[in-house]
Amino acid sequence: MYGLIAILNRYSGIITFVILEAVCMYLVVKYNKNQQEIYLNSANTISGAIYQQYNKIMQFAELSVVADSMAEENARLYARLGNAKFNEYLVKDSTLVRDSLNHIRQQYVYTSALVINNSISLANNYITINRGSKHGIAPGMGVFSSRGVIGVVRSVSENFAQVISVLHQQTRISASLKNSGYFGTLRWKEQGDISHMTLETLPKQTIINKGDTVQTSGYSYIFPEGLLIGTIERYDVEPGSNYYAAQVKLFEDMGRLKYVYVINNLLRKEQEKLIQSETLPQKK
Amino acid sequence: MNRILLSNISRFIILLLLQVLVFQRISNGFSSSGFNYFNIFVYPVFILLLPVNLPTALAIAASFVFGLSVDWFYNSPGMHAGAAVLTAFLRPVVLGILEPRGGYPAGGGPTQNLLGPAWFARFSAILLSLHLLMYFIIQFFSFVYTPEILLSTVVSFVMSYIFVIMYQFLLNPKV
Repeated sequence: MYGLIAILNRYSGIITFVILEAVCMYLVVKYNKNQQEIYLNSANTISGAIYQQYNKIMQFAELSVVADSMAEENARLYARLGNAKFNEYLVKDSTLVRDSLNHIRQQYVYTSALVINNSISLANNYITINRGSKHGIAPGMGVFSSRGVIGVVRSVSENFAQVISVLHQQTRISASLKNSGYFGTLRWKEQGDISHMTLETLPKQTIINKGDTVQTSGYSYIFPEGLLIGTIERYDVEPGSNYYAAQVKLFEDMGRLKYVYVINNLLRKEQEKLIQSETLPQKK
Repeated sequence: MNRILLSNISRFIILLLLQVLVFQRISNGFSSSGFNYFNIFVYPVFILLLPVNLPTALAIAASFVFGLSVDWFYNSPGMHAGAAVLTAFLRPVVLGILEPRGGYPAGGGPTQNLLGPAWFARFSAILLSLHLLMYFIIQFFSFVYTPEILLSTVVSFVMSYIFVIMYQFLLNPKV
C-alpha cells in the first residue's frame, strides 16, 4: 500500500498530464468544428470509403445504377452544349479564315459525381464527392448541378475529392444577369442562410429587376458561361458606393445535393499561362 | 507564501484580460485582413512563472484551469488548455536543464528579477516555442498541414516573444 502511494506520488505529474491532455483533446474534437471536421476527415480515403458504403446501403442497388448512368449521360450531353465549345472561326479583315474543318473545338468536358458528404451549417462548408484523381479530377475544377453552381474542387485523393462549397466565406464567383448581361461577384455573406448569396459590384447603371435570372458569366477558367445560379430577390445601392448589392435566391437547395458534375476546362492551362504572363512581366 | 499565491492569482487575472481583451483583437485584426498565421500569446507567462517548487501535478492542474479560461473567451474548448497542459508538464524538464549552479532561490517563480534577463530569455524562448508549436498542432490538427504549423509557430513566436519579454521588464515581478 505504501509502495503504491509512493509510486502514485512519483508519477503524479505524468498521470495528471496524460489525464488532462486527454480531456483537452476530447474537448477539442467535441466542441471545435474545424478539428472535428479534420478528425472525421471527409477527404480521407478510409472514411470516404465508409461514407461510400453507407450511401450504397441507403440506396436501392438498382436505382443507383440507373441514376448513375443517367448522370453520366447528362455529363455527356452537357459537353455537347454550345457553351462547352470553343469557337475557332477566325475573322480576319472581314474574310472568314478556316484553318481546318474542325473549327469548333471542345473546351469543357464534364464528369458526373455523387455527393457522399455535405456540410451546410459551418462558416466554411465543404462537400465530398465520389470522384478523384483516378477519374481525372484535379484541384481547381468547378462543380455544378442541374440547378446551380455548387463549388470548386479543393483537394483530391485517389477516389474522392473535397469541394469548397459556394457556402464558403472565400467564395468569389463571377456571375452575370441573364437579361442585361452586366456582371458582378457572387459571395456568401449571410452565414447560416443556405438559400441566399450576395451579388456584389454590379455597376450603378445596371438594368436590374426583381426576379432576374443570375448565371455564371464565363469570365473565369472554372465555369463556362450560362450555368444557372438563382434569381434576384432584392437589390440596393450600397451606401457610399457606386455599386449594387443584390440578394440572390439560389435555385439549388444546398441541403439536399445528390448528383453533381465536375467541369474540366481543356483550355485552362493556356488561359492561366496568359494571365500569369500578364501579371508577372518581369519574370524571366 | 501568501504573497506568492496572491501574485499568481493576480497574474492569472491580468494575463487573461490582457490576452482576451488586447492581444486576441490584434490577432483577429490580422486574420480578418487575410493573414492567418499570426497570433500573439502572452498568457503562457502565467505558466512560466508558477513557483519553481510547485508540484508538477498542481502546476499542470493550474495551467489546465488557466488554459480553459482562455479557451472560454476564444470559444475554442480544449485548444489553449491542451497546449498549456503540455507546457506545464515540460516546464520542470526545462527548469532542470537550465538550473543555475546554486539552484533556484527558495519560493517564488523563475522571474527575470531573480534569475537575470539572459536566463529568463532562454527559459521563455524554449517554453513559449513549445507552447506555440503544441497550440498550432492542435489548431491544424493534422500533419498534412506541417508547413502551416511551422510557419504559424515561427511567425507567432516572434511577436509573442517580444511581448512576453516586455511584460517581464515592464512589470518586473519579484515572485
